[in-house]
Amino acid sequence: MKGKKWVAALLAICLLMGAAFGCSNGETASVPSGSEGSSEEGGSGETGETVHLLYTYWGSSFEKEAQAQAIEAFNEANPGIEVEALHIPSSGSEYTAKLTAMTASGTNPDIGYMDVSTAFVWAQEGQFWDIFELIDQDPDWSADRYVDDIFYMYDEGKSFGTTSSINPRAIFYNTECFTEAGVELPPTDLEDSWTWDEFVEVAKQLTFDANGNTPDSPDFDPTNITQYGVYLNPDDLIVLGILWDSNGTDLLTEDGSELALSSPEAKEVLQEVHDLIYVHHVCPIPNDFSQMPDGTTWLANKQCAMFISGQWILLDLAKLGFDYGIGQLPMFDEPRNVKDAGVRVIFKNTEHPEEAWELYKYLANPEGAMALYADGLWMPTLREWYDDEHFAQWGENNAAHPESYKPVIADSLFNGSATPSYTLRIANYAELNNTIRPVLQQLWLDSASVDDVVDQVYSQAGSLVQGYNPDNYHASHYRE
Amino acid sequence: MKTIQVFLKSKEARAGLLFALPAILGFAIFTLGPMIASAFFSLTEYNGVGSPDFIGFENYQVLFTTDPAFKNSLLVTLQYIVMSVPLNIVVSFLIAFLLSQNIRCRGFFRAAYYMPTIVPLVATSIVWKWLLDPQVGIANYLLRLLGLPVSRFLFDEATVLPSMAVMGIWQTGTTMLVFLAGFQGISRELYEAVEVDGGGALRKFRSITVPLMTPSIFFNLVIGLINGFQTFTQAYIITSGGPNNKSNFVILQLYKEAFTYGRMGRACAIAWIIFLIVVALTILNFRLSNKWVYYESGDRG
Amino acid sequence: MRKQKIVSHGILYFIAVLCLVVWMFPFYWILRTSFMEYRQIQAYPPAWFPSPFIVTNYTQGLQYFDFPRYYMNTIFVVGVCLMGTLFTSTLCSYAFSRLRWPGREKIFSLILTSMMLPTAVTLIPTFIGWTAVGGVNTYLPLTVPSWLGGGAFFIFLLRQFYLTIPREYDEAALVDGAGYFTIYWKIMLPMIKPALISVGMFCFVNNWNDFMNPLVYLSDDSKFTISLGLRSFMGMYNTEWGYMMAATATAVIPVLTVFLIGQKYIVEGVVMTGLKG
Repeated sequence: MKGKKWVAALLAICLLMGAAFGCSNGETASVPSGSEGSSEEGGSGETGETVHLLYTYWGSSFEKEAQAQAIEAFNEANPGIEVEALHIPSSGSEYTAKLTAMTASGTNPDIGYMDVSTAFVWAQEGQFWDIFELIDQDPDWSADRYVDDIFYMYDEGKSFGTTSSINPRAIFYNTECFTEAGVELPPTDLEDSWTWDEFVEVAKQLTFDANGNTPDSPDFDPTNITQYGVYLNPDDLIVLGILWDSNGTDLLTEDGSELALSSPEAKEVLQEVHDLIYVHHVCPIPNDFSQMPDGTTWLANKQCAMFISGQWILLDLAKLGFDYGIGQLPMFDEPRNVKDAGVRVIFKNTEHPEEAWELYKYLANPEGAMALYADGLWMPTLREWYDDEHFAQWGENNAAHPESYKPVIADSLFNGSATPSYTLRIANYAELNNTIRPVLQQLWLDSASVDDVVDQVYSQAGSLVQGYNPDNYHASHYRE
Repeated sequence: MKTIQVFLKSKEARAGLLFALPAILGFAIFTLGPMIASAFFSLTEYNGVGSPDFIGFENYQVLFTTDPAFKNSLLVTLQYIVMSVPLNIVVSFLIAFLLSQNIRCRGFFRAAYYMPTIVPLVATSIVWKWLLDPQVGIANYLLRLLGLPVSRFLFDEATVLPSMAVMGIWQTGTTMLVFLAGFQGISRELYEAVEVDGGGALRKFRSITVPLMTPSIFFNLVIGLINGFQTFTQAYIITSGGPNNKSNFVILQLYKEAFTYGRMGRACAIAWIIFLIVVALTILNFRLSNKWVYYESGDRG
Repeated sequence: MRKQKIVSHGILYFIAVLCLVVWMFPFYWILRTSFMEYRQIQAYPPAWFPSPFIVTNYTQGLQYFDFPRYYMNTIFVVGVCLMGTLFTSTLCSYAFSRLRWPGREKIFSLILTSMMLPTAVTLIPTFIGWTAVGGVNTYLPLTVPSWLGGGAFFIFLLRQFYLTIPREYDEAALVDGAGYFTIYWKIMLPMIKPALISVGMFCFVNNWNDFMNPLVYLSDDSKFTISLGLRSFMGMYNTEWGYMMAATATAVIPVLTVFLIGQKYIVEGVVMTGLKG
């Protein structure tokens, strides 16, 4: 008896070792080591050397599918290069955790997405290629081909990457809500942008309690609202930033030495957004300081008539299948907007910078990854895709892009209203954001006054200010 | 020299060391090594990818002086532990007691109560977020139907931690199983002896069940405390630490330092502070355990 | 006396069932959501039943999710871990509780400390170590720790149980001339069966739901585990709730079934061996 059990235990151990090592032996080639070693192996049978690249990204299953297709097409079009696309499931910082582990051990990808705040730190360590250097070496390419303001700068004249998309914000609305209430649709021309007061008025006409009363009615019951005029999540400094900009102020003072939130203009914006919720009752209390309520579904369900968000939600809106449109953001003094998105980088230790650069260009070009653009997730970063001929291929006549897309979102890149967001401009933004937002949450929960929260912002975030990033983030500046 | 001789002579000592060897190896490789590494990094400015710069105790100094976020996160974590650990122990003790009774479909009930623990925390976090959503959640819907005052649950500074503690009860299967296994170990004869003496259910519970369960209670207390300090996923998925940092647990803060701000050195310093606090509390726990934990064999460590 | 018993039993059942309904509610919510259209998920008042009742969350969601493969991978990893943990943790804790050897207490308290170190910090050094020995993208980093004691938690738990067994058992066996391994294998293991089942259960659940380790160590889609697959539905800008709930249900239901069936035998086993004395 005893002997038998020993044999069983031994067998179990052998099985474990065998299975585990079997795995490691069989497929060592696909160990994420695109940057080292694997290229020699790959070229053995063929005439020329096949270059292996590792590309990492994260995103939903839709993005995964679209990216995988795009990479497959790239591999077919470039016989000398074989890209392995590694999708890393993540709901936030896990992607960074994995990339940190990979980079610390030298098995990092050649090219990939990066969390912007981490990327700034790594860029200063020299982990990434300066994109301008690669552009300069490429006779067929120039920085002029990009839309302005999409380079992430980490030093004078040096950029660690471009944004992967551009995300201007807008009012997305459910057309039915407007027609039912007999209210005129939000403006599509920049000059016609609503002032804040006009915006509040419209939102009031689109807000109803369970008995069909609007906030102006004396019988209105603010505890039982069935349709909100607007859903604006104030727990987003980028959106607040647009409003501050529109009111002639900014997060930091002009010289970048300190916060600029104590100005009457900045406080006015905070007060107005607060009043949207607690005085006018046209906007729900932001329940969630991350992803819920999901404004897109609320819009489809007519739980809100307007939703202030970014261009990426087109993907979801199209899937929900209802009649929606896009309107200009409300303004204080002048209409403003932003450009911002995540970053794609090329790692400095790649053995094949030229091939990585080919892939980099390819991903920025809707030519190869059309679905990512035409389905509404991304906006091209290349200028040429906004001329009429190119634009028609992705920006109109499809489910994701209504007619109002061009005047409101696409044109914002070129009419001067959209400027680089805090993510691109302000140094140490991630930490400022993570410190300021929680303090402001007291205002959005109506548990502190504007003056109180601004004082707290100064005491908690004041010492974190590090000024602006190197200021020539415009491709046009680079040309000079 | 003497110990080695004892070693060679005593068969028991040799067997002991041999049998404990896997755990000793595992500890050396997967804990001691990384611990030493993190202790070193905690004295440096290090972003995980470049080379670490030695800065002495600056990380610790910053954490205890100029960094309000860390102190707040420690406080939040302690508040949460004070709420959730006793709650979990009492509730799962009662459930386990109920399920250790001679009832029909006992297996089914046990499985049912254990089930939530099998569900990945990400999924449960999202479900709870829906259930407790102040505007569209079923909890407030029912409260409204009954004409009771609604709550903002996870999205109110005052109620976020209590809400999370209550959510935590749902996944206490581990605690419950430990208690169940403990109840299993209590001999019927002891209860019968009390019955012979004419003692009622309450006396059985008080003089047999509770004392004999003290090792399990102690175990769950120690583990609960340690796990309390590791609380992370709920806050990460549901609130991102808000509102106003009232659910910014210390591990969440560690994550932000490590993977958002790229300050691996400071993250390691946080880890060491948490580690030392937990070690101190655990030692205290063991010290106090002599006063109330009952071991049958009397051979305690 | 008998009547009283019936009444108290009735109350017992009532409480058990009532709690159960509340307890099971979130499960119902997961199931409900998994059959719902995206739009209805967030409607107010919340809908109790999906209408229309759709299965596309399953059919489409699982297209993105190589379910059978992830399942097999997870079962393999969990199985190997289970074997390792059950064997080494019981053996080691036996040594830490019932055998006397120099340094025992010191080493035990040292090992206990590993429970108190946040895993986020050991992540990077451990990863570098595994890279150095070529363990990345294999199942080794996920399984080897189980064969080395299985973690301090289990050793601690089992030690607590060993300590409740009277010493006379060992002494009697020693007098009979049994070796220490025989005492462990033939006498102790049967006596700690309830604890063994608990350890098995915890080990199973921990490994089944582990996300961070598979994420960091596995790169090939073909090696992914279920928890990695689940997270794939969370995007950069959007999360596919319906798909995610469908995938959660699919990941959890088979485990629950096994657990429900197994529970009967587990409980019987416990009762049969039960520590009588």
